[in-house]
Parts: sequence; C-alpha cells; structure tokens
Amino acid sequence: MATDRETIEAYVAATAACLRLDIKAEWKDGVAQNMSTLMDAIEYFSGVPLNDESEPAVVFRA
Amino acid sequence: MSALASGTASAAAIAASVNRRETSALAVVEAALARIARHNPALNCFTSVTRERALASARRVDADIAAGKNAGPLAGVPFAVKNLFDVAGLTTIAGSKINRDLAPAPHDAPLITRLEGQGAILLGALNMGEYAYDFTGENIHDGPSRNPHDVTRMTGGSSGGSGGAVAAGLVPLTLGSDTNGSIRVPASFCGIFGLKPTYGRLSRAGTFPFVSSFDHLGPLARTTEDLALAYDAMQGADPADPVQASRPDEPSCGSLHNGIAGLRLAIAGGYFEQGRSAAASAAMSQVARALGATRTIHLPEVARARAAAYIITAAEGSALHLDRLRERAGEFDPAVRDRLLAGAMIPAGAVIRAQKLRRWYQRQVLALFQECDIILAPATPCTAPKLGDTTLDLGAQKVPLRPNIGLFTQPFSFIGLPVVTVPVQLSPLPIGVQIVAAPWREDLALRVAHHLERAGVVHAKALAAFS
Repeated sequence: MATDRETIEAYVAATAACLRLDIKAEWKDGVAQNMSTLMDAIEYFSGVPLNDESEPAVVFRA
Repeated sequence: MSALASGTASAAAIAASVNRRETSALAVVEAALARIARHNPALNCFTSVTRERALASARRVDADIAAGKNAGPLAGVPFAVKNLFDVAGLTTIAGSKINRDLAPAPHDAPLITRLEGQGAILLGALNMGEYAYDFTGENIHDGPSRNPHDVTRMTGGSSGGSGGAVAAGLVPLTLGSDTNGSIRVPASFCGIFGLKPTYGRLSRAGTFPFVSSFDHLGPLARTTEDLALAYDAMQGADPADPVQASRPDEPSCGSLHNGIAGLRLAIAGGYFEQGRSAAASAAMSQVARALGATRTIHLPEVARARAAAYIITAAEGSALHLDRLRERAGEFDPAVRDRLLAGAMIPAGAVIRAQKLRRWYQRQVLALFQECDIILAPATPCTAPKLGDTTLDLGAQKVPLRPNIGLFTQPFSFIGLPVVTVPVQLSPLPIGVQIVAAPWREDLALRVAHHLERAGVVHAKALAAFS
C-alpha cells in the first residue's frame, strides 16, 4: 500500500533534519515525489519472500 | 571521400593502414581533430579536446613504425573517454559543476594507459549526464549531447558524448561507464555497438564512481571487431580497483569469427515483451530471425529485481554524495539533486533487503544459463526521444521518461552480466538489442554480435551530415 503524501513529507522533514540536509522550500516537492517513488519501489520488491539465510551481496574480502 | 577522412573507418582498418604505412597516425589524428572542430559545435559530444597531446602521441606512433617497432593493434586509432575518466592535466568533472573546483588529474586512468599501450591516441573527454545519474545525455551545465541521427533527439545517457562521438564518426572508439545501462542506452539510441563487460572484469581505477556495486566501464564502437580489440587491450589485473576479479586475461578477438554453431540462443520473454515500442519489437524480431532463435525464456521477478536495483542505486549514489549534498546542494542539476536527497533518506533495512534480493535473483538467472548460452533482449523500450521530453509511452501508459529508459538494461547490470548491444538500423531511427551472456563469457556475446554484423543484420550507419 502506497504511503500517503503527508507521511512522506513528514518523514523527509524529520530525516533531513537528522542528516543535516538543508532542503530549500522550492525543492521539497521534488524530493517528496522522489521519496514517494522510492518507498513504492521498496514496498514492491519486498513482496518477494526471502528466507532469513538469504545472503546479501558480499563486497568486502579480507 | 575515403573512409579514413570521413570518419567511418573502423579502428581495425585505421590500425592496419597505419601499421602498413599506407597512412600516418598524424594524418589520422589531424583528420579526426578537423572533424571534431567542424561537427562538435552541433553535437556537443566533446567537453575537452587534448589536441597537443594527441599530435605528440601520433608523432611517437609514426616514429615507432618508422623505426620498425610494433606499434600495436590500435596503432594510430583516435579515441576519447567519458569525462569521468581521469586524464592527466584535465579536471575530472564527471558532468558536474562541483567537480570543476578539483585539481587536474595527475595521471591517466589505467584503461587509457592500456589503450595507448596498444597504439591508440587520446583525443579528449566527452559530455555526460551529471555524476552519471542519467539516461538522457542531457546536462544542465554543459548542454545536452545531441544525437547524430537527429540533433533534436537525445543521445541517451549517461555516456551520451561517447555514443554521439562514435555515431558521427568523430572518433571510431570511445569509453563509457555503465551502472544501470549507460553504455547500452547510448549505443541503442545512437545506432552503434557497445560492450558492458562482466562486473569486475575491467579496472575502474582512475574514474569518478557512481554506484560502486554496479559500476562497469567499457567501449563503444562502430564494429564488433573494434569492441573486441579495445576490450582485449584493456584486460589485466589492477590492484587499484578492489572489486576487480583476479582472473587471467581472456582475449576475445581469436574467437570472434567462430560463428554461432552450437550456441543455445534464447529470447527473453514476459517482462521484456511488455511496454516496448513497435521499433523495439521489430528489432528483436529481426535479430532473433537472423539467429534462428525461437525459444523464449522467462527471468523470474524481473520487475521487482529492477525495483531493488533502483533502491541500491539511489542509496549508494546518495551516500557517495552526502557531503556535497550538505554543503553544495544548490550546485547540482535539480533533477539529480532531488533524487539524491531522497536517496539519502532510504532506510538501511531496505537497502540490505535489496541486496538479498539481488543474490536470490542472481541465482535464479544463472540457473537459466544451464539451458542456454545467450539471452536476447531489447536494449531500450523506444528509439531516441526528443531532447526535453519528460514522459515516455509504455504500451498504453505514459510514464516518467528518466527512470524508465533503463527498463530493459537494469535487470542485467543488477547482477553484473556481460552484454553487447547491437544496432538495428530501422527508419527513421536505430534501436539496440542486448546480447547477454553468462558471467565472464564476453567472448560468446561478441561472437553472436559479430555473426549478426557479418550477416548484415546490424551495423553502424554512415551519416551523410557528418561525413
């Protein structure tokens, strides 16, 4: 289920403050639109059932 | 006008001519510089031209040949690189405004050194989408690179200058980078050949990164032989890139002419048949018919895999730029800035889950290579859009253009598979088909591409406006 716009905007405002990202007023709509698309993508691929042992891609090697 | 003067000569033909002393490297380079001076104002592919360096290199190649030395299989071949490659003495701008404040690169990227070691001659750096977060070839700081087939249309991105420069015959060979499709999309829109090797095959040292776990480098050219020559020249271990696999060189030129006998060819169905234009379908049909490929296979959960690639791209790309986003956000292209700012806020758990899905998807797709050697898929859903377009018709749906041009490329780069994009010259515009092989089998993809080229099914067109 898509996250509503009000929630997205509140999330962006709170997270930007925590990350020290200064989002100008005129950028807010574009950032929220992109955040909404990202959240939809997360919701969508999370529908693939993965077991707990599924391995994330390994990049680091000692 | 001769092919050498018009810019339609292949790298292999130029090198043969230079090595036989039928022409000089200096004459080849001067002709290429003249083409760039004449046509780049209309195409905007080059952002820097290394004229003096190129002339000096050409004189060295000619002197070596005069002294009886072997000048290499790329003797006198002009080439250029996307401006995210380090070029000694140039600032590595990576399509951005912010990077223009950096000091000039002290050294060339290793892939440049390797091509020059085989006699090739660097002519400059090429336009690209800002920080490679782009499929269009548009750039707010340098202006868009323009498609030589129709200068009102996109080259595709982010290696837009690399695609346009080869299609117009400014140089026969360029290098680009491909994170989600940035070699294959320009190759498709500009009607040329492109190779995205296996993830970890070629060193990425000395280049400005975007998404380290997806970034690949590779060549774009007018023939498959030129792709193979450049690819073979650039192989070799480089400890400066920690991701590069420790594998022996696996040259491809020797098997290029072996044909397709015995190869099991399959067509990607399902997801790859949906939402594509009539041109993309026609190109797929022509290539499949010429290869006698009739079997259709289905990759599992492609759309969800692509969504996961989208998340990893946004998260890794944003992490790379977090300090710049804090300090200089106003200097980014707004379209790139807004995506990166949103990407910086993705929950970590979602990124880890996307990486888990990536491993699962890789296992499923690799299992398909037990049943086939090559998978055919469209490279782009459509031919080159008009510059400035912001939406794309996908079947009955109108969707945002920028995120959807990579619809068919992302599912393969997500798991690092090697792909050759071949150009089908439809009217009025070309479009590409992807030839996808199992990891480390670039040789097979190049063989199939070469077979299609010899059969006359795919080729790079000589464009009268730029001869």
